[in-house]
Amino acid sequence: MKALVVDDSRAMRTILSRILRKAGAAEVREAADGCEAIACLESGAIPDLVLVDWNMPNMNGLELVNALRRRPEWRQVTIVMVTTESEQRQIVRALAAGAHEYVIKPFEEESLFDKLALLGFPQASAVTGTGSTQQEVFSA
Amino acid sequence: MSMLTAEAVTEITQEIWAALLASDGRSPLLPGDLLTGEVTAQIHISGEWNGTVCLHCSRAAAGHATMSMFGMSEEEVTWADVVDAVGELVNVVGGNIKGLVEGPSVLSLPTVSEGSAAAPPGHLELAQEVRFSWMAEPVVVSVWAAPAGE
Repeated sequence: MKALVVDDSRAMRTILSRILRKAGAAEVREAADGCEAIACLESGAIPDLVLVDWNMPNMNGLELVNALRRRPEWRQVTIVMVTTESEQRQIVRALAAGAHEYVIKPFEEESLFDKLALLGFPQASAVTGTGSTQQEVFSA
Repeated sequence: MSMLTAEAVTEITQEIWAALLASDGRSPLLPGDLLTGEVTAQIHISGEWNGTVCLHCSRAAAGHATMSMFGMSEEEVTWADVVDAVGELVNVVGGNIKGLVEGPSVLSLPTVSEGSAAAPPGHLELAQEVRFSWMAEPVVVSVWAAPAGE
């Protein structure tokens, strides 16, 4: 699995990158906002999975999801929003725009592994070997 | 506003500490009554409800949080790392508190400064304040609300 973590918080990028490597990601890149993420993809580094924060300067997470879904060559990328935005209308907007999953911070590591496994990244489920009982995760 | 209780703020903060800083369960965030510290992080909520969420802690607590988040040693930690780590903590706390207040609203980007003098704008009123002890260091979360109609 190749992954891209998009979050303006370096701390959160570090945490998410650590979790993804634990989940078997062979390569994890990081971007501080949507613009950096687009530049990363345009350079040819197309990931299998993108974890996207919502509130970021320059280009926010929803704008990034829209941009990813507009380009045919990027449509196969799996998108998971990882954010503190917990309003139902925001969740609906993100999923309608094309995010596959919506995870509200804070989240349990195991719940993210389970969701990644369900999204077709089976190495993630091997980390815990069990299903967790995470409540703050929404699916498209 | 009714959901913005001290119990809710306590629960949110403890949950975030457990998820981001103490997943091994060895360093829980406990109720405490220590003095506020030298690092202040703020994030603003704007919309139907307007206010500011503040996280105050000692420099030592901020350092512990930074080391835990980045997997760093004490010698490696810089102020920029502290800003990132404590900024993310107030971002997650603020985002969850935003879920407690009425109506649609948006969250600002967090700011972090040294000193407890970085108080929220004077016209805001203290809605909730919860004091914790983490690794024997003070951590305080306060929620400041704009007067109704603002």
